[in-house]
Amino acid sequence: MSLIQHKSRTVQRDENNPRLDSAALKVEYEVNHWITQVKDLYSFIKGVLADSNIEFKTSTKIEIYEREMKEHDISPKDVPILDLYRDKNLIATFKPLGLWVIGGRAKIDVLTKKGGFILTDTGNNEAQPEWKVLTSDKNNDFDKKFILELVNPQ
Amino acid sequence: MTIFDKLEIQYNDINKEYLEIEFNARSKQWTRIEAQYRYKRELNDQAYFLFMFSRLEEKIKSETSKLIDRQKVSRASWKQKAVWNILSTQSSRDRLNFLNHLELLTEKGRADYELVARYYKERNSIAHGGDFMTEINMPTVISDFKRLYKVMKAR
Repeated sequence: MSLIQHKSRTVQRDENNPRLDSAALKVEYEVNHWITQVKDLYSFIKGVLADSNIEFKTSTKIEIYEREMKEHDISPKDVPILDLYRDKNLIATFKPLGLWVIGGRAKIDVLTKKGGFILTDTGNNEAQPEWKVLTSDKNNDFDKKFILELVNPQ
Repeated sequence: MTIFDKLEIQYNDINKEYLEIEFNARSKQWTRIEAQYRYKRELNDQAYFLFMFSRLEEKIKSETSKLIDRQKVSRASWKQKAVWNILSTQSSRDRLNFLNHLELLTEKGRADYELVARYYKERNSIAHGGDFMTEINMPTVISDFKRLYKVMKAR
């Protein structure tokens, strides 16, 4: 056995099974990449609402520990939850729940006073996520217009 | 209105109520209640997933029964009819597992077969006391089940 350094952790390399080792690295890369995409999404939301009176908090975290991570002995990861406040009142919360999802990539629960919805990446390009608001009939774009309506409901 | 439309409305009503309570708990920093309602939503997802899958499973089995009955009286060659005749006995039908039924309706390896087989694994995991093996998005599941219910037909 030898040790190789990969991003934030050390992975044990099994000389007899290098394929397994690279699979573990791939899983870890995907998780880290997804966490970056979640943070990018939060930056997009903050950018859209930059001129509003909305305050943002990402101080609480949610632990992600999916089957693929357990199978490859990858440690659990903390992913930030995004809370949106107006006048000290919570108006929306974004809770990332996982990367591997049947029929899509990634799942983020969005909670509001009037219920909520799921955000998922429906794109085919891992590097460029296409965040959509899921319903069983159609998927809506999670764009500037949607975000403004989310914080200013009619 | 199909059974899936009715179940979807009922699922959405319950999910919405739980989401609102979870959100309210978060806004008041009632972390225990927030976690409790997150868990209730998970259980609700599992319950409605199983409920809906059972309807799809029943449809698939019913369509394969129709297919077997139709094929055994068809104008196919005696060799082909012999296969369907053997399949049509009660003991043969009882021996068919769910994936055998599925394979009679759609080709193994095709997208619909693989999708149903994947949901079947999740169904087994939950039915035997586990959780979802992979996260699901209920709107996607409902949409898939509605479509599969229509296309799974004896042809």
